[in-house]
Amino acid sequence: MGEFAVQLQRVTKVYGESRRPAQAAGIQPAAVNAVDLSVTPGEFFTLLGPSGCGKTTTLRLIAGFEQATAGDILIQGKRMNDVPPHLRPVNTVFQNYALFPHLTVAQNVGFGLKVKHVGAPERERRAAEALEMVRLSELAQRKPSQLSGGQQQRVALARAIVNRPAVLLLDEPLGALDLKLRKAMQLELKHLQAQLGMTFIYVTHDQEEALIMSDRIAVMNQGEVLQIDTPANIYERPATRFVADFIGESNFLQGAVDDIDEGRVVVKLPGALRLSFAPNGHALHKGQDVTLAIRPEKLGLAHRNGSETPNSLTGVVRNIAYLGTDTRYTVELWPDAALVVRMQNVHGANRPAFAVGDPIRIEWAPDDIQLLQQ
Amino acid sequence: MTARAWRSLNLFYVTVAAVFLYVPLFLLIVFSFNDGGTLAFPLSGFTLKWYRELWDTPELLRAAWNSVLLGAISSVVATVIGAMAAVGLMRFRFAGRNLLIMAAMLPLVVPSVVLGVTMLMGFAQINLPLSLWTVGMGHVVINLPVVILIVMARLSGLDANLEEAAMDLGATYLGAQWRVTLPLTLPALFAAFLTSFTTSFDEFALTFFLVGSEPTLPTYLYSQLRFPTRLPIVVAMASVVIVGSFLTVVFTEWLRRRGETQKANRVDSLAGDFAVDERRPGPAMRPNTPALERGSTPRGGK
Repeated sequence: MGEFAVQLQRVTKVYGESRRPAQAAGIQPAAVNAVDLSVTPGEFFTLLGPSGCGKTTTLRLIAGFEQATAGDILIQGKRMNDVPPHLRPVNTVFQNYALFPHLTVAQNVGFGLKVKHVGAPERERRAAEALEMVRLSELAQRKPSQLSGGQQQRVALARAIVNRPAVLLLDEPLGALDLKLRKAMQLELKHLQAQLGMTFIYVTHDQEEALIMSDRIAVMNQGEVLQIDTPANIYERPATRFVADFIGESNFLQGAVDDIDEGRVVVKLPGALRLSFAPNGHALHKGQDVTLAIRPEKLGLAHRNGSETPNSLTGVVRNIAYLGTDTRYTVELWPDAALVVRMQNVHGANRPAFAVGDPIRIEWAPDDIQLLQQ
Repeated sequence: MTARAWRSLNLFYVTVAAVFLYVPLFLLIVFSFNDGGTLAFPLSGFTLKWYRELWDTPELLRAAWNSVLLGAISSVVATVIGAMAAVGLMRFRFAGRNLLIMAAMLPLVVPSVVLGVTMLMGFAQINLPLSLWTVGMGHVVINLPVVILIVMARLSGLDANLEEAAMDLGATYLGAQWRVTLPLTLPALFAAFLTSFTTSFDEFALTFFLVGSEPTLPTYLYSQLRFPTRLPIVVAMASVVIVGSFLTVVFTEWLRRRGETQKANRVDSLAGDFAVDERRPGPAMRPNTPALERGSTPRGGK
């Protein structure tokens, strides 16, 4: 057990009727439902999902502000279910920072050490060190109300890391900052985390932020963890339709398994179209309904020239949107089915390769198609 | 209308309001120095004899002192109980919470006469003899809703995350209350105390039912109205109260401003008195404002 910084085992939280799982489960849907996850020490672990998916509740369960209705929460191998927040080896950076308005920046940062009776000299040294780390030393004597949002964010960070927690919990800490500052802080946070070697559990609804910063991401929806994996795998190999849709953009095609042989699967699409590709580990049977997902940038467009290849579909360009770095084509395959294709504008805008109404061919590498769990 | 016309209209309003408010008070003070038995013009001469008689009327002084003591103690009790109730009502969600809020607000709408009769019957039931203590209990009851409202208003303006942040950083629940909620609520507690004290000091209807042999200032003054010759002494007493209240208000305002100047100079403000001070070792709680606050500044603690 000791090799994990944080472990959640079948953790369920139902609001309303606390500690009475059997009755409560029937009354209200669980805010967090049988969540299993393990975070290794030094990892940057992100809980990603839309608002109301249970990611913040999960964080609050780890912090101790909420009591789990069922399941076990382990921090550094110790069961923490009944340990109050102030005795847990974790610290939180709150979404709205929650800085103490009556204390100076230095006093805010020293708060955790003060309540743990760390002597004044060491307290001052460590608080100064933490402020140094977030580059706010010269503002130590200010009150929080005299700081900008970005500065307050750094104080909140310093106030948490000064206690050297085993795990730092961050609840959408960059949510209130403007885009440019947010981008800068993302890199800074990541850098800080690497420098400290501290375990971060980070909550966000911003998929780009999650991809940039995380070692691993847990995608959540409706209280459940759908997939836990590295950013690359979450993006390239989404396990469910929700994951494929929530992170980046995806095309979906409904079909049915037509044939399985020699590690290849043939899926039949409407209009007698057949696609064949590697099934990547899914147990399939003939006739099973499946969803295929493919990213718009993995698709290529070509003019129809008669030579049909197996991994291609034909269609008609219905819409073209110029997005600067790339162009987004909507291609109608057959009535009610369209694919979005993104192509980089490597040749500049002077060469519009395709026009609305063009009959074209869509091509892809077979391994870029993802077969999704139903 | 021009800005100038608006200004003179405003000035007119302010003048009228000031006249209505302060002329009677001013007259009262003037008559307290009047060498004559009746409260009527023309003034017959300047005298301090009413004040001398006031000083020589121990029952009156005793009644005044009773009222001060009663106001102070009952207001402290009301503030403490009311503040705790407000914290409970604001921070926790439980069955019957709304009912409890309504019940706590009841003394606001029940006439004090009714409350007085009810409490009188109640005390009689448990054979509790009437005294200043029973009056004090009555005053706590009527002041509770006001305290709860004032403190709840302040708490609702405070981010609930602040307490969580304090606990997250290692403070116990009580520690978080002490180090974060209390300092941030202090101005409201002070306001609640002052409001309670004022109410208690001039409360008559309820007091009249619950008072024993020891009178409060209002019940004593009322009893003196039967003797016309005593009226000038009552007027003198009223003048003392007016001047006293005026000085208190001025002093409080002066303290508040001083606190704000200090804040601007980056010295801890009123709330900062309870602050964790990084620069100075020694006692964690460091009262740095003299006089009024010192009496109410808790010391020590961890």
